[in-house]
Amino acid sequence: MPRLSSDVSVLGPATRVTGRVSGDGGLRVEGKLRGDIQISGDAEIAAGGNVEGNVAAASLDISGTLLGDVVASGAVAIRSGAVVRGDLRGSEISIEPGSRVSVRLATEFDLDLGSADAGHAAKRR
Amino acid sequence: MAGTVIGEGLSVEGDITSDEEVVVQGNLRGKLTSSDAVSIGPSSVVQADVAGQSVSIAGQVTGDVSAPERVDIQAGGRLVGDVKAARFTIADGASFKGAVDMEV
Repeated sequence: MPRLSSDVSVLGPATRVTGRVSGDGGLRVEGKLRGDIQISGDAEIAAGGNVEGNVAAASLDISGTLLGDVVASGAVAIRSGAVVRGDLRGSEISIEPGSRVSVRLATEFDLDLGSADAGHAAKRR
Repeated sequence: MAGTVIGEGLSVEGDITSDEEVVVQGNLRGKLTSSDAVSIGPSSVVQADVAGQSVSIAGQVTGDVSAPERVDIQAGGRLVGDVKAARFTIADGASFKGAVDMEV
């Protein structure tokens, strides 16, 4: 059996899933998922991947397409080439040039106005 | 390389349709259809009809299984459901309850 490491799950490019994916570990979507993701690990929507549903994960890295809301305890990264529409909540959110987004952002951090390095400090939380 | 892996600890409730190899090590409830090989790992619990080019079962499956090529229940594997396949093996230590149609 190839790829025995089972802590990262993969929905391959020729795979379509209709339904809910939940549980422990990470998930990389290279194919098409219509349904919600709720996992304890890191989620990734690879280039060519397509998710229509809400995502709850430790972090989310998007290079593909996402139509849905995101709640991440960690970072949400929207890469170049990604298409994203929905509400995003995470500890930090980055949007690369070359992506197309129609989103509402919510990040939770303390603004330390006393420090000249406030932006940096907040980002690191 | 397996195109799709449902890892241990992960659960899918719904339908999976694929044109590549699918390895299930977690849990699945719904339906699994692939035009390539399907492998159900030893730790997995599957409540679904499973169809693949070939299907190998080392975990627990409840549902009908069909494959144009072959269905193999490995030692420790357990299948409750009907099997439709040209070739069918049940390893020593496997359990099986259901009907078999080998299209003779």
